[in-house]
Amino acid sequence: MEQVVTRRRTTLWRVSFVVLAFFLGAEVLTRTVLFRISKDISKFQTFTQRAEALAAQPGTSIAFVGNSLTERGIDSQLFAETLIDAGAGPVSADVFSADASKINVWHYLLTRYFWKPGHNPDVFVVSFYENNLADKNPLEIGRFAQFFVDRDDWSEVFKHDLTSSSERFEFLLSSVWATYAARERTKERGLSLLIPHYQELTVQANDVLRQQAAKSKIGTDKAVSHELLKRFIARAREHHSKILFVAFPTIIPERERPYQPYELDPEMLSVIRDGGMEFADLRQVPELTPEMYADDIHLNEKGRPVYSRYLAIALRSFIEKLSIDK
Amino acid sequence: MNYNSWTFWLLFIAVIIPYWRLSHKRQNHLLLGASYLFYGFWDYRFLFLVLISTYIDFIGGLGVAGVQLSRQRLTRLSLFVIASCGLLCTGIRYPELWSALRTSESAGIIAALPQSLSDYYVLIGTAVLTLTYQATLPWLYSRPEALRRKLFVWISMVANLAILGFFKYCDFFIDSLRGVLETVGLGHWGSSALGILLPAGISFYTFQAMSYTIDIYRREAKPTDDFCDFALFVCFFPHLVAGPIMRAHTLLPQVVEPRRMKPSDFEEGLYLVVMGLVKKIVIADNMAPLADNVFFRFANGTGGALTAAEVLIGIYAFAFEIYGDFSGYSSVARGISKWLGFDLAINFRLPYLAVSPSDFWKRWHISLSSWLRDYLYIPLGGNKGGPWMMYRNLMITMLLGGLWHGASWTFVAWGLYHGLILCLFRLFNITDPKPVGGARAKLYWLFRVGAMFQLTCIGWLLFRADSFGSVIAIARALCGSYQLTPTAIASLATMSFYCGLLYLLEWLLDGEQRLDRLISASWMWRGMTYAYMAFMLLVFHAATAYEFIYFQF
Repeated sequence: MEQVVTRRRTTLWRVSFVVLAFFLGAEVLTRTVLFRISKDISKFQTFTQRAEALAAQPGTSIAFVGNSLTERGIDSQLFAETLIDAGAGPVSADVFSADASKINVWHYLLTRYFWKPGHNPDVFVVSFYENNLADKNPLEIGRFAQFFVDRDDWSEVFKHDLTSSSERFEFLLSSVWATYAARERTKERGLSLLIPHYQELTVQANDVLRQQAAKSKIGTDKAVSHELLKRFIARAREHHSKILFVAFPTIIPERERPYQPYELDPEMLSVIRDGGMEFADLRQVPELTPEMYADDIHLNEKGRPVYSRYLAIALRSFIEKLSIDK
Repeated sequence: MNYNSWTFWLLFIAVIIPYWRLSHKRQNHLLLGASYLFYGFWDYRFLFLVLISTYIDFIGGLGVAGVQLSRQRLTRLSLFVIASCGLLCTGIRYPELWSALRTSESAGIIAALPQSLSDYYVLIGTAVLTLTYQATLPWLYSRPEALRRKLFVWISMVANLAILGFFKYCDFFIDSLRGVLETVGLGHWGSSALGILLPAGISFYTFQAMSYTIDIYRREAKPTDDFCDFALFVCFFPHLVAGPIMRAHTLLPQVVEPRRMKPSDFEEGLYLVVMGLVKKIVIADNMAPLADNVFFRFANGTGGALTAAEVLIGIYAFAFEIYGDFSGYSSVARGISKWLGFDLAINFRLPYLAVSPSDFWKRWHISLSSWLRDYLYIPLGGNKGGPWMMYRNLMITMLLGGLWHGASWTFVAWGLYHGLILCLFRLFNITDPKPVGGARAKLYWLFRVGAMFQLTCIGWLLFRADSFGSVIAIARALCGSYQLTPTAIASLATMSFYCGLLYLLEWLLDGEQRLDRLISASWMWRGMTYAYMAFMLLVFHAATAYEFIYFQF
């Protein structure tokens, strides 16, 4: 009997070893290969260096912060050149974006990469649309834990952002285990490789999910709060940072015509105003036509330079004032 | 709190760490506390329903067996039920009360307590009924044995079915009645439903509690006079909200007798838990968007753009979704029960390898189909009384089985459909082939499996569609073009990717029947199997976590 138990135990150890070896291999692959080939993640690994380089530039330094709207819609070089040509003095700009990110990520992105000596640019331009600045936006916890939160911020994260035990546990695991943190990306990459037309299927499934969510929201409490935005602005003030919030131009799909730009929450606007930050409403840019959009919200290669120039001109007086103050 | 949440696993760890160090009685108390906490996470008020069901059947079981509790114990029990009702059902706002108590703010304490007389209606009703029942007990016990046994079993059945009927079917019947009245021109009634919330798993624990009293009545089980043991039998958390529905003669002895873990229990439990989670989180939740892509669009009136191939694949996706969802829950329930020293019944046995409707019901939700067989079909007369009586009994059983799944006419239709195909197979005396013999026999078996899968999927169409309008629209769409569009190809590939290897593994282990094959496999194969399942669980889980489908039943 004792021999059977010992044999069983030995086998269990061996089984555990195989599982462990498999996951160690996956961890090494994730850190060395996946993080390198993921456009989004490889970008984050350059943030510290680029933030330092931007802050060291002469003249006015501008960091564009946002999600894929910013990434695909703003050409920072063209934006800077347009401003210089318009006589706004020396200007440097760079884009720091994370796909599908919202205020809950930007707050920590700035804390980790910019709000330390020698990394703080003159101004942050935060582009958003719809409820990107509101509380309770969904969060990709894995990426958040690995790339945006320092250990010093954990208490703040647990107090305000991740309040359920499940979320906290996921966050803790993600912060030490890259395979777990990057699982969404591994999945997307794997399925895109293995399944033909996977992206088309995903677009359809997301469309159904959005419609289901919209249907289930009917009649429910629509109260929107902006506590995180207040914290974001308060921390920016602590670090003497100026933030310009820009409502990004989007286009509405054919099925939802006539075109109505998304609404701006009055409370959000008063939080920005009361916090002493600037706001630019660029929801409707006359120069942008439907063929300049890749989809409902993202600009394409045609729209990108048009919007970058328009943005530069729209922000010119603000940038000029900033350089005078400087 | 679900199996697919970290919170559940934190609770389970908190239970399992001290569990095997405790005495048997303490183990039961710990499990009972954990079970109530688990259930209370959904809506603590509904804990009272579990309690009242437990109270009624505890007394009922003893009454049927002729065992009398002392007056003192009965009074203590009644007061416990009334006090629980006071704490759970009077609308005390606990978060506010807690914060007011912390700040010793008397106005806040008063504000958090019930404010109007209507808040006390349930409490008053419970007190009156409980005390009346207690006062009636001496009279009930004084009846002749046969009558006493019948009276107690009837009280238990009526009370349980009344609770189930009110919470699950009241709105459905009111709405149906309103529809009929409006159709025949008797006024316009508007929405008259009461908007009653459905307590999670009410059908499961009610059926289990009822079976206890019935089994004692049939002298197939012995009652327990320990309320905690019986309460644990009713609400044992691993299977509380979605089964398997356990019988008193199999589960109660495991509660009452000391438990010990067999050497193979740990690994069998581990396999069942991991496989169950994979079935739910990887298979069911990833199949859900494929099925929703069809059913939601038809419910929304935008399904016309889908081709027949896309619609068919959507229905297949739902077949795998519901199987993964429900069998996944049962598998996890069995796995964690093994770790706690319990053995729950196998609830699924490769149902999509069924060759006939009767074979299907021997493989799908076995605990419910056997419950319906033993407590409904056989008491109705079963196969006795000629073929027409058998068909009648089958139809009644399957109709009620359909209604058990949900308060909707589509569920009734699903039950009737299964009743009908059961009757047709019996009428034409179609026998079940076995996958043995020559190539021809195997080919015929394969054909029958394929044909039965199609018949099952027709049933799933009725089960999943939101209305008969959608059913008709989907059926029409199925008559269209079977051209393989990019969406159809992607859906098919997704289905194969998620279900293929895992169901192959399940097939190798004959569902959950031959776990010994896993235990006796080489350590390398076992390690790779676990690594594969864990990797799928970790990386290929669905973006959206769905509620277990059967929680709503």
